Amino acid sequence: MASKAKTYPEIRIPSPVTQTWLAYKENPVAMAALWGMACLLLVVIFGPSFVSYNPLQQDPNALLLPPSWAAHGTIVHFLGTDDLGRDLLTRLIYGARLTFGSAVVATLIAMLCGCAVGLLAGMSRGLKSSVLHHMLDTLLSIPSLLLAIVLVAVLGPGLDNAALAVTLTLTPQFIRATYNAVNDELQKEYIVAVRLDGSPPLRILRLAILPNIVDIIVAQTTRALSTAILDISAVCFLGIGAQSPSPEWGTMLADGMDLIYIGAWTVTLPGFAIIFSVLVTNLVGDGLRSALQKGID
Amino acid sequence: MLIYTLRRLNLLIFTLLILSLFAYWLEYRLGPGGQSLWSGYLDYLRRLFSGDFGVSSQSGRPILETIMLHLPATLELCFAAVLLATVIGIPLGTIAALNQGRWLDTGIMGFSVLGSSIPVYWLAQLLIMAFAMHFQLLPSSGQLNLLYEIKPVTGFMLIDTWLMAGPQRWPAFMSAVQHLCLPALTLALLPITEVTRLVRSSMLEVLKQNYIKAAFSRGWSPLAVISRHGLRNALPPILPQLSLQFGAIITSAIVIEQVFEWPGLGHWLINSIMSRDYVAIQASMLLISSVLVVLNIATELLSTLLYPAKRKESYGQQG
Repeated sequence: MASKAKTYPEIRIPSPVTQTWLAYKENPVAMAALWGMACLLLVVIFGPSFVSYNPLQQDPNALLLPPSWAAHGTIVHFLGTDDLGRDLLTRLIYGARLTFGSAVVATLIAMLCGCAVGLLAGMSRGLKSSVLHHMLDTLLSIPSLLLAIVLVAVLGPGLDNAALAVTLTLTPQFIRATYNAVNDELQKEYIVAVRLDGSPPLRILRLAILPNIVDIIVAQTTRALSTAILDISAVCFLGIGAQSPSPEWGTMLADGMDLIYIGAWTVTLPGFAIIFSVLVTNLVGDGLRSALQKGID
Repeated sequence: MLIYTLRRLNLLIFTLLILSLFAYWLEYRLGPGGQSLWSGYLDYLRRLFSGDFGVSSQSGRPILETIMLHLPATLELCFAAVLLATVIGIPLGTIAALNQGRWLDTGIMGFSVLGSSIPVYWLAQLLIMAFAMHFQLLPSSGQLNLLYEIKPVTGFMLIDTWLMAGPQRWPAFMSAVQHLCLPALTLALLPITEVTRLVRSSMLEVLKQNYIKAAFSRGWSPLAVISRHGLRNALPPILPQLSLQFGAIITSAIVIEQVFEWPGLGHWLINSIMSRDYVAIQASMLLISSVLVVLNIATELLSTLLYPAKRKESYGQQG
């Protein structure tokens, strides 16, 4: 580096994304959370091909076995079984795909749609963007879970519909975040300078605005992801999302509610799975936000 | 100030209109059709203004009557949670700010992150397991022991049992309080973490100010400085953000009522969804979100009234 710096005396300023990443790496908790999230994604993608049981396979000889570390547990069913003798670890791994996987997909779709609309609205002026602003205020005044519940009631029960409803409730938040970010950026002086130089809007958008709002969109995405996980599992818990034999985490929790007296682990373990995924997402988000803050200062 | 108020009220009216349009669209799409969309909507608005929310297809009773029956229970739960969140969250946030960077601060912030990651329905079950089953201290479901017969006066169980006459009054009141404990505590967790975080960051800003240093250098105790200068300046700026918590509280209440079988709006809403009672669904959605919009705009106006520094912006706009 040192020799290069002598050859090329210009100071190379890292792009906003690189700056954020450099600040992010300094935070050990956030890095641990990032690793946790990577593991979770691996489980979502490859997990089901590594387990030996079927999540719906019932074993009448192994009903309500406690986890292997308890007095009566066996290592054959590492996290125990539920009241129908289904292996809990297998169900949790398949559930990761249903809960975390569908939350990720819902968030990504919402991000793409929301950012596209937000960018368009942010670049345009006048009545169109004012109308959009009011519509968004309305949609955002309805809490996301309530809106998701109402939409599921319209669409009918099922995990697909729950994920679709969550996507629809998350999209306005992305539109709002992108819209505000673009607006803030447009008011800065370097944009005015570029515009006075005669750059067309598309060029300003691509070269000046997008690189500077990517970090805001990423931070909003983590926030949306934790909302998506909680909302999807809540809708399923209420019995209007994924239906009973499905190993979705919220559905498993609801199924375990009757067993809480005799098999507490059927309730606590899916709960820990949800907490782990939400906590990891939140910590990554917090790390990103403080890294962004450092970049600004 | 007048123009600012008018602008807010204008926004309120438009928001409520759009909300009612959305609610009508739900009913129009799902209910028996017939009328055209536009004339149907005008008719719908006319009905809303005369207080007619329609008739439940499940029970055959007017929606408004059913809502009024369930609303007090939900409000009671939400008030208790807001109270808990304020009483616990503000001191926690202040303590964290005063100890910035030390283990107490780290501990409180860790608790706050963890608390906001816990799904409320799971926490509800854990609390039931611990307090209702293991220690047998508190009841796990319902609003009151079924032994007591309460004459509904206001619908709020605490007030009704308090107003009751006769020797049953005190045990009935205690029973109502005990039933309220677990649901309110569960519901309060999320707002507690949020209040703690907001108060901490706002308090950190205030503690940097010179008037705080001056007060400390005069030899005041930290308690006196915080109560006379700290909280008074730290709380008003976060008031609008706090009002956003109402939405989170109400949605958590929907889920929690399901776990604790609390006879409130949320319980009724989920039952309506299960039995596909679309009139009830759209009416409760309209009602809950209108209440939230009104609350948000009211807090915004209130904080502008109470906190002069925020008014600078609106003066600037009038230019």
